[in-house]
Amino acid sequence: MMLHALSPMGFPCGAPTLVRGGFREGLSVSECSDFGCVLLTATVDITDFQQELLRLTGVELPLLSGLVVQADGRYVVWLSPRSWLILCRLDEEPKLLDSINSNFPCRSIHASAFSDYLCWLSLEGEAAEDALRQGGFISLANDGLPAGCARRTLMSGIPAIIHRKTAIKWMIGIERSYASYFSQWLKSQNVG
Amino acid sequence: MIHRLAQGGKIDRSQKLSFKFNGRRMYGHTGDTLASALLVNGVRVIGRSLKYHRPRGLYGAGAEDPNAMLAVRDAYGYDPAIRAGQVRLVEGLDVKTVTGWPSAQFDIGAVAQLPAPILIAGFYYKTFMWPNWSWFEGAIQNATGYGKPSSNADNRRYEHRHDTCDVLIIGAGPAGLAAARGLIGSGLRVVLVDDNLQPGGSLLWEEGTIDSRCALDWAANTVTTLKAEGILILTSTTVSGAYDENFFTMIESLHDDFGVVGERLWKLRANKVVLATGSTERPVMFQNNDRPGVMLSSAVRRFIAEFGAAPGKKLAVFANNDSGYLTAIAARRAGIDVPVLIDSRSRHELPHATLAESLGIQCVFDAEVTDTTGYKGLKQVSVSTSRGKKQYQCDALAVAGGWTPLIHLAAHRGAKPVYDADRNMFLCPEAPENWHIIGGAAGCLSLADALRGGHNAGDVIFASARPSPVASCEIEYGQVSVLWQTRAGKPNKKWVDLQNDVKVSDVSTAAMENYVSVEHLKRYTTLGMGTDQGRTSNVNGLAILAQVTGREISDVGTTTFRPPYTAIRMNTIAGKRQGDLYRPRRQMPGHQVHVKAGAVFDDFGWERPDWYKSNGGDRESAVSTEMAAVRHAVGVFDGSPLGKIEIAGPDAREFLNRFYVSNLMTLKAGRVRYSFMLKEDGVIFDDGVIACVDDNLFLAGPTSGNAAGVAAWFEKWRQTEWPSMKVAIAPVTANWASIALAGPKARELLRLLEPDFDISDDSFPHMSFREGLVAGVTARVARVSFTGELQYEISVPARYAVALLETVLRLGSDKGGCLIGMEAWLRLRLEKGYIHLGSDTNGRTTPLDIGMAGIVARKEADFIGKRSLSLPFAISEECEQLVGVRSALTPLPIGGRILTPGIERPPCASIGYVTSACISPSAGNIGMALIERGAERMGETVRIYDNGQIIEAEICSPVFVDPDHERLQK
Repeated sequence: MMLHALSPMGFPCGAPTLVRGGFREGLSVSECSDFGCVLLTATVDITDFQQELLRLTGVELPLLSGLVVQADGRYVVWLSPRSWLILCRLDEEPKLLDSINSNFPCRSIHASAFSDYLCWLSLEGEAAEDALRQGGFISLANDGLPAGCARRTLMSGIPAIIHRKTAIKWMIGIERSYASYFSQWLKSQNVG
Repeated sequence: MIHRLAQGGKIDRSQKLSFKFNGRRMYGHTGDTLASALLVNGVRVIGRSLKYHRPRGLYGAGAEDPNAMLAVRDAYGYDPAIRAGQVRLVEGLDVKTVTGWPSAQFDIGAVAQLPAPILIAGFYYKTFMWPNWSWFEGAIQNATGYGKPSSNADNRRYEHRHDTCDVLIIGAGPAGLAAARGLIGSGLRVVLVDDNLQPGGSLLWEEGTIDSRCALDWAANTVTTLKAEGILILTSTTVSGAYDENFFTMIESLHDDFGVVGERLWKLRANKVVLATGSTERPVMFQNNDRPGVMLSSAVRRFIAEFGAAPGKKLAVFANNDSGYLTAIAARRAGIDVPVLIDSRSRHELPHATLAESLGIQCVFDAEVTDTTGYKGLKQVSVSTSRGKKQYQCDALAVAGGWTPLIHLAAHRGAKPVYDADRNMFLCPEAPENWHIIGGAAGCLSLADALRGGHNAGDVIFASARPSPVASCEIEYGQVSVLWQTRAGKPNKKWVDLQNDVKVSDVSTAAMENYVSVEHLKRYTTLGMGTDQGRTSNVNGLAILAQVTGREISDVGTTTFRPPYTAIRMNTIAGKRQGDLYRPRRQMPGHQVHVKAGAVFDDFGWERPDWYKSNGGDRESAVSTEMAAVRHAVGVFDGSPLGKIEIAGPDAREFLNRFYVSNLMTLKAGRVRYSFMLKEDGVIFDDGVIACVDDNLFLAGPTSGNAAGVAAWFEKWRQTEWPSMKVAIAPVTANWASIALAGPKARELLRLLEPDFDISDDSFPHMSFREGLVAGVTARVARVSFTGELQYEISVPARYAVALLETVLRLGSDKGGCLIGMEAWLRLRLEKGYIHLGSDTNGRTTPLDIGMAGIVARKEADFIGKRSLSLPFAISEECEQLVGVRSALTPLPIGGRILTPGIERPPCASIGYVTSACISPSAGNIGMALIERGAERMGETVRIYDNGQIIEAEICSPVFVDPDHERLQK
């Protein structure tokens, strides 16, 4: 028996899918259900474990707010001084979980399955930033959110992780249960 | 347009616009406000006063006007009450007065002027308290207010925008423009905001030159330069509130040629702030100073210079400062007859008098207005001088009584207004951090000083080598000679607050009744509580209070300034949060399966099926089918919202043991325990099961509605109280879809899903937990029960929710399985006597009240709230205890109050209430109740009161089904 997987927006899992219909001009939205995700939480200061984690994950964990580190197709997003989000390919998640948790049997560093927690949307286009600014402060930092950085914030009242990849390309991770609402909200911005 | 001047103004005379006022067609021009258009069409009475229904006309030209509230409909929407000076005139406006019945012109309510002597401050409070305020409340409410809101949605668009900037300059008058100009080339992100349609502030109507050119040209040129430099200029934008950390809310009005298309609510954070909001003029109080035609002097100048509108054919001026001269001279030069300028000061102080007199204006000194006449429009002013009294015919009177700096926003941030006796105004000498207060807001009364102040503020933020602009004016406002009210005239005829009909005598009355605190005065008299927020009246009211109580104005102080600065449309605050987008909705990962099954959804924090149409034609029959499926076959329930928090680390067990009432130190791997956690006061905060995955990893399952709250509670204690504990908290609720199979055939159904672990009762007993594969995917399965039946909760990654539900329903269909909604689920747990947190507990319920005293007593280790359970409040005999109740004939009402024993009917004290109730197919009319000493009352019959009905019920055990728990162990 094998169950088929559906993305938060109801698409078959595993490949980016363009979300059609109703978004404002200059904004295209895709759901990226090819992303896997691991939530890494630490019970201790991880400074002493950096090298070990680098070996296990292939990416160095950023230690400052807003930083995103990328290596070998994986991204690590700083969430708090003791938690990170490791974005990988969907099929890499179980292996990553296993390698971290088996390496720390006392769970002083713990990896949780998180691929299904977030709905990742890619917003692309000149109008993307404007649409997001209607939903909340993308960043409370005065210079906004520079390309290559990420923040946890509230977007249209929903907790979200925003990763600005380029000037006009944004990745937004929102809790899966809000996917439908968020998509509707994005469409409501079509009046510009 | 009988009062349109032949020339002048910034209006476009080539563009004629028509609008309706109370059904009468009128005309104006592009560039007019509704106020200026009404003025030029000769409209004198635009409403009636609140209490006495006296005729009222335009008093100001903008937000400061206390009178000009009108109902306005444009092509996009309807505003039941908006100030005429804040409405841009567009084609097709439909305007109606909102006070007076049957009309503002002829108002029957004007009879209230007859008993005016007794309708003094406090009249309503005192008079209508007997015999009962509620008898009069409706009528009094009807008599107040402005306009009736429409029940139809408008066609405007509303949006929010969040942004940050380096410098926010509030006010694009001369000072604000000078500050912005100083920041050119700084590279800073500057936002310049002004509430008028175009930048320039007073330069739009005041005379003067800046840097040797016309001041207005200088403003236009500066604006062009600022725009070219990338400075964001927002016009028609009002900063409505200033909050901590320089967070501002601003309302930007979006117009087109047919009205207000929409509004944008800005939420802006700024590093530095320049407050250049200017000041507003205040009047002098004299007898009958509220007649239509009496206006603020600066408003008259603005009407003339910006709109080419004459306030009347004959304009008298009354002043205690040079603003009056500016007005008189501007009016005379515009061709308006100015029969007299009444100055309270002496001749020798006034070099400008010569200029006025050279234009043929008669100036009288050491004089004051003693009275006015004209009911629906000013006809005459009476003037008293040292030489005697004299009357002057006029249909307009401009009054200049001094200036009130608009320091509201600084005060929102906590800056204290201090009275400056030299300048007769309240100022904020200590600006909030990183703020610069300049121009009129800083008490500046000359254009040159305003420009210099603005330039200096810009220079402090960014040192440029640019010189300050230099201004020259023929006449400036000069110093204000104190005159709050005229010596002559009756106090009960001198209006302080025109909007709320507060007079000098009312302030005196309040003081006599010992309302000498300014906050008490405000509430007792309603001074400054109108929609104009007392812009023209507050300081005058304080001055009168100071006079009658023999204090200095500085000792009286001001009331608290609170946001918003001006009225905001509710739609603007709501923005997109309307209709379906009202608030974020959460859907379960298997949502589409429930939709297909005809789920009737309800909001339980998540959209969850209450019942399924596929199970019955109506709610009761569907719920009955669903309950029967669980009791006799198998039910499928989507419990995905159930909280899931991973607690990991070497100290995870000890950490959790400090929260839960039960002893978790003995919980073995693969086992599950049900427990409660408390707040420090011993009151139950949450309940749920805790699964031990291994010694260093636990899975806490808080209630659905409390999942985020419990995770935050864990984090709070970890971070603040026990930072050295080696524990990590990972809330993972949404990652997993949880499908419960409940009923005697649950194991059979689970077996069909091909779990890769033994699910026999021996290997997988009640209250245990397994990880493995189910239906070929990773799963976490807990054997726990909320229904009293054999039950498995299968959690799989949420992407498989739809497939798992469909598979389970397909495989379970020939076993009598069906989907179960929330209502059936809750009734099933009630039959079993399991509590539903929040329904069967309240803000006082402790574990001792719900039969968990034994568990508490057995746990030796400390836990949050333990100490409180030994305090008198927790062990009092009056504590309500959770029990079952059963009625032979009548269904029990949730919330029904349980009467004191021996009392037949209320009124009487209540000893408790019904917390949950249902009609159980197997147990009849059952419920749970919190009743004082409930556990000792088993078998007692109580009377339950609900909505006039009395129901008799027996107190019993709350477990109505399977009291020996045999079904759980099968």
